[in-house]
Amino acid sequence: MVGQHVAEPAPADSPPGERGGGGTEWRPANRRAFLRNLALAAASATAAGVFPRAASAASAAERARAKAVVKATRLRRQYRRQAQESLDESLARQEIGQANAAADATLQAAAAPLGYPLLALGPLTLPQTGQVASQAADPVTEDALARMEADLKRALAKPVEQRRWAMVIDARKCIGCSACTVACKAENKLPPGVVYRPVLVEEVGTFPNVTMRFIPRPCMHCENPPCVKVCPVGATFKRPDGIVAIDYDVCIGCRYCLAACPYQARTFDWGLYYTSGTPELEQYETVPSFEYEELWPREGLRSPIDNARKCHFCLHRLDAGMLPMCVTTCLGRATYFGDQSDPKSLVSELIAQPNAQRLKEELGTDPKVYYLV
Amino acid sequence: MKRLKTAYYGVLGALVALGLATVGYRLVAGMKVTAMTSYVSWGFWVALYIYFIGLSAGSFLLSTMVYVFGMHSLEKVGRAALLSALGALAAGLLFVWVDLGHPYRFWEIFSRPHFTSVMAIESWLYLIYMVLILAELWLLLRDDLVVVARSSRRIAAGLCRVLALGYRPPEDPRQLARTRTREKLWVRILGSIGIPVAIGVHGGTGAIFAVAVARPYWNSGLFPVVFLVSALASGAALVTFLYAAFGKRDGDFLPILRSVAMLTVLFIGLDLLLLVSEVVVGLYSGVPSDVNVFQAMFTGRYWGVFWLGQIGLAGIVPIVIVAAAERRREPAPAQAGGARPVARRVRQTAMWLAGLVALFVIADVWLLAEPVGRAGILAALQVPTRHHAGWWYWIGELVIVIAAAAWLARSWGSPRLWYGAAGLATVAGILAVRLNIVIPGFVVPELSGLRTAYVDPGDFRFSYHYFPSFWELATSVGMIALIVLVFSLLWEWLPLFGSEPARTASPSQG
Ligand code: SF4
Ligand code: SF4
Repeated sequence: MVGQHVAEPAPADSPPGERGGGGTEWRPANRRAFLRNLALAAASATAAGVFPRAASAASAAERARAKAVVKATRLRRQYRRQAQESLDESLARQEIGQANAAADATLQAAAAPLGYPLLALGPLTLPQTGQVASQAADPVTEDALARMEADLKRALAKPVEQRRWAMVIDARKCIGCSACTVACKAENKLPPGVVYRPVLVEEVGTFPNVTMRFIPRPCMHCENPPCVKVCPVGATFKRPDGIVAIDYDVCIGCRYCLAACPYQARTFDWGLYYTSGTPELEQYETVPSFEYEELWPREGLRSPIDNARKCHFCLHRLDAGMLPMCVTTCLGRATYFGDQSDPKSLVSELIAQPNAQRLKEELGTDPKVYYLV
Repeated sequence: MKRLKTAYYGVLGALVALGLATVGYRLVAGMKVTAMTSYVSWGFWVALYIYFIGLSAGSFLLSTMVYVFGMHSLEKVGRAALLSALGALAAGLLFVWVDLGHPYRFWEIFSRPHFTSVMAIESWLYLIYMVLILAELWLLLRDDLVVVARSSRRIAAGLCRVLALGYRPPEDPRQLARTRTREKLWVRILGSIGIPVAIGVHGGTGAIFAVAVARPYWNSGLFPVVFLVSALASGAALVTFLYAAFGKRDGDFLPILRSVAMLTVLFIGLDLLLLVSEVVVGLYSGVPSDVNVFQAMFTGRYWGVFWLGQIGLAGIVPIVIVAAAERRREPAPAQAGGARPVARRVRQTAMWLAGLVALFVIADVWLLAEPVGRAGILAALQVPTRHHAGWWYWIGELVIVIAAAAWLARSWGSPRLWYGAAGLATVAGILAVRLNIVIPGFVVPELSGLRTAYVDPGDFRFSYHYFPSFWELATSVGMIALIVLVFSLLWEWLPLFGSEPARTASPSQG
């Protein structure tokens, strides 16, 4: 059921009636009525423009034009409300982007001949903003997030085995706020005692000449991962796009991988709750997490309880065209993410810099997380 | 005797009941009942798992000395060694099973093994190894099983009838002789296959640790060898103890006991040699990840596990006792006048020693209860390092006790008692060796600052400090009791040491 929401974006040239089918308010019937109205409005407007004299009065054309715009605005409001509702009740983020984009496109089509300027649609259409920005392609003023969104889009258009996800963390820009840690906890509904991306704090120097160094430590998604080798049941595996994933339903909880990871990037889910010992477990603890695009409710001893857990580069977000949560949240704009196999991507550029380093390279794990120092 | 036995089984039964209840609780409550953390991800259970696998491999290899290499002086203990190999293997598997986060998924290791993992390879080896032991045991026992099945001991007869699997020794003497020869050959073949398998079983269990590149303390080629040697030591020690305690006391008794005790000491010596080599190289190189581990082991919170357990119980104690028992002064020949003063002197010394030990015990209890403010045995291993007085006190005490035991072993008691004690001390002490393999491997953070990098109500699960929880201890006691119970019953019911009346009654002997 959920899988549908995060399906690959429908190809742009598919017939309008089929787009975004299933479960949302974007129903073909609505759409057809909308298009018909638009066509009528546009036709009357054009008619008024082409045959100004034929129209008995200019005011009639004016009226039609105003009518069309009012109608378009009302429709637009309606779609945004629908989008808002579906945001509230579901995980269908991708769908919203599409619906908005579609509404936007139709509006543009409607308004273009009218010469009305269009307002930007706001936070829901980040992908579009990214696209616009990457077309602008000014490396100095370009926003890093926007560029990474564009990189992501390009990567997602490729077959999965040609992607190589990589992360770059600029240790000079990290301010040690741990916003990524917390955002990740919230995104993945992590219980107490489980953390995917702690920020290590290192004190350098002696008082009064002290500075702090901050090193966020997600899973390194090693190219040669010791954790994958040692898993006796193959529950931990390397995906074709380089992400090291865990199949919670297979993991027997032997914790060999915890012992084998040189970065201690894995934690065990001990089945703890923040609100245990209070009259009621709060709902935010029991709602399912959405890791690996499946629903994982917390109850009894169900997986992922008593399983190994770790960062997965927000695989479920990537497949929906979104950057990992820590990247989006990073206050210092110190975390970058993208496709390393794409030479034009931001991360490829950053990794090529001479100050890019990796942790414990001598072990031959070949991490996919780089640090700029 | 009968009453003693009833008490023995009563206590065991109670422990088993308690243990199974705690195991049940662990199964319904999940892994949160343990004290393990994400950074000390293996604890007491895994230490016991490798301990029992080691005991098993050790006893099995000892049995091959009889059946493959023809050391006939050990013939009598061969079957007992095989049975203890089986029991220990079962215990080891039980412990690794209870350690799984999802115990009911264990079959996945067999249904979808991932053979790049040493753990998967090992699991399969355990299976093969178990089949080998069972086959060998059956071949060795089947003649006697048939005899016991015809006896009047009700339970034993029933059990043996089932276990004989319908085997019937041939009536014709010539054919019987042929069957016997073939049987010997098969045992030999199985034992020969078993040698590499047993080495694989325990060396491989060592490799589970040795292949972890993340942990320099484990990640060395010496590690699987250390596992094997200490396995041999513990296996020989177990057989020594079992034979001393329950072996038939006939003419061969003492020489056999002596040879297994000597073997134990030989393996202990080898083990210590490997340990010294590893420590010296590690400390000399000065690589922090190595040095920190050794520091934690020698002077850390659990220094006692190393010095008292590994070095004391599994090293010095058995060596000293066996050496002293070797050079024991035989009591003066039974003369009416001569025996008396010796006996009195011995009694007096024993009384003094008992008093000394009692004093020690009182002082120990006080010492343990005082510094941490927590009474009882749980605090026993947690005397803080800063407490140097405690340090020297404990070691001094150990030296005195060992010296006293050595002195006693030379002149008092029976050799059987002392060899048995040496065996038991080693069997117990090797547990310390196993704990020192597992836990110190985790005490050094892979990246500094991980402990404090993130804080939440569950962050005690990011601790680098581990002490088994009540549930871990209780389940361990229960599961060990279960294995000991089954083992004791089999020991009683199976004809491990032959069935003499039967042999004479069988046609070939007659
Ligand atoms: S960082 Fe650790 S958990 Fe992540 S891929 Fe590497 S070895 Fe595995
Ligand atoms: S804990 Fe799970 S993922 Fe890790 S090695 Fe064991 S079975 Fe594999």
